[in-house]
Amino acid sequence: MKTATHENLEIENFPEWYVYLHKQHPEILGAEWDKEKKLLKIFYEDGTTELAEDELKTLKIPTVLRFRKKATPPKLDTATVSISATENEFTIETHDPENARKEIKLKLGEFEESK
Amino acid sequence: MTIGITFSDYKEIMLVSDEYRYLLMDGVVEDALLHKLQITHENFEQCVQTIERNAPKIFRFGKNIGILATGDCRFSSILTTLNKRGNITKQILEQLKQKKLEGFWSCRIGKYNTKKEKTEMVSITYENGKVNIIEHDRDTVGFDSFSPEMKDVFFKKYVTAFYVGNTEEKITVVKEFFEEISTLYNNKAGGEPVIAKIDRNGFQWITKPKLSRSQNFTTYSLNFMPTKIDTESTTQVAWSSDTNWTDILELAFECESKMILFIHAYTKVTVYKEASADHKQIGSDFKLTLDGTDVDTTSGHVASDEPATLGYWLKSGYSCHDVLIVEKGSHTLRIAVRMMGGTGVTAYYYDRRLSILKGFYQGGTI
Repeated sequence: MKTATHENLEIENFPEWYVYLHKQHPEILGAEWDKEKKLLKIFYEDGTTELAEDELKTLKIPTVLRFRKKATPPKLDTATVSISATENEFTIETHDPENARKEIKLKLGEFEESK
Repeated sequence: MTIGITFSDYKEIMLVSDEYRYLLMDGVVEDALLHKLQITHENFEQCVQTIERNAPKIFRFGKNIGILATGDCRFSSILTTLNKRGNITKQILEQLKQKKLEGFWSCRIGKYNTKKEKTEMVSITYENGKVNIIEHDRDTVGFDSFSPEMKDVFFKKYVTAFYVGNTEEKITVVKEFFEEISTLYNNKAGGEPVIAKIDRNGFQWITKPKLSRSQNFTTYSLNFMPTKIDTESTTQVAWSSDTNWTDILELAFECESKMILFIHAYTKVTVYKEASADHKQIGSDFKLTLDGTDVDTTSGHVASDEPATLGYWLKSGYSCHDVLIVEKGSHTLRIAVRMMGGTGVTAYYYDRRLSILKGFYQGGTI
């Protein structure tokens, strides 16, 4: 196992930030965040390529939109969208929530966004 | 081997010392001592007689007694004898806990010299606004044998200060006293004093000069002066591997002798399960190790048979207590963890803490 250390990062919500990071990079074993020192450690298996610091600094957690289910969740063109569905609701993760809403409206017509 | 023990049925500050080692205790420690010895008002005389048979030298004043045991006498044998003959009950402890003499306290200061079989000891007691200075034992050399420097420090400067003040002030005064005495000893022994711990419950003060083997002074009184050592962290650790372990906290400490440890390990944990993850049981495995050897292994399931719908967070915690006996030397305690539940699960650890209470164990030597 090896450790990479990164300084002066800004992470507002570490647990959610890590969840998203780990989705993008499942090869990561874990991470440690020291909020006071703004110090991040990322743990990798030996031989794994380490993430570039720029990628970490620009990583943004996507907004989660929730919709009442009235039809099959549509396929959207908006980048970095993932859809998961339950019986009554489907959710969309997007970095561009306004365009995602427009696409939903376009493809589903009337829709109701959950709060 | 020489054992220095003093105990009392009153609230008191007690000091046991040899040339290089001082120990200050207050009522909290005293309770533990009394509990161990189980001395009562009713069996007090019997206990004294029992101790006298085991300890060649004994001194007393009022209801307080002290022992200077030499030769092969061991603290364990005293305890065994007391327990056999004392027929002790807990009721006394209750009686002893009732403060019958408010405003009474005493400070005993002395120097045991194991080689010369000579004791320098004096008690300073305070009761009802009056200070008394009492020599302990006519058979041993008392106050008159104090060195001029010690006399000067005790009585010209500090007795007055002992006379008044609350607990904090007393501790401050005694601390100053120790520092001054340490300077005197340092001039002789060339060592540096180390104050290991100071708080309401007293402090342990140790000077650096090494004891020779011939002065293998086993201060069993130290059994009752446990020291708390702890560490904590609030950094957040996320862990997504269910095969690799990671350390989330460690505590390195020294044991000056064979010691008994009371250990407490604690961490909060939150487990995240992605919507796509379909594991029925998720959580974290915990492992507490001392010098690489497992002390405790725990699997903390925080959910089971939950439907895999949206991602969700579940909070839990890990807490472990243990009592260990360790040898003299350096030791390291660690909390290690790994996620449990497979792909799509992450465990978060935060607000973690490791604490030990260490005290000298029977048979330990310095």
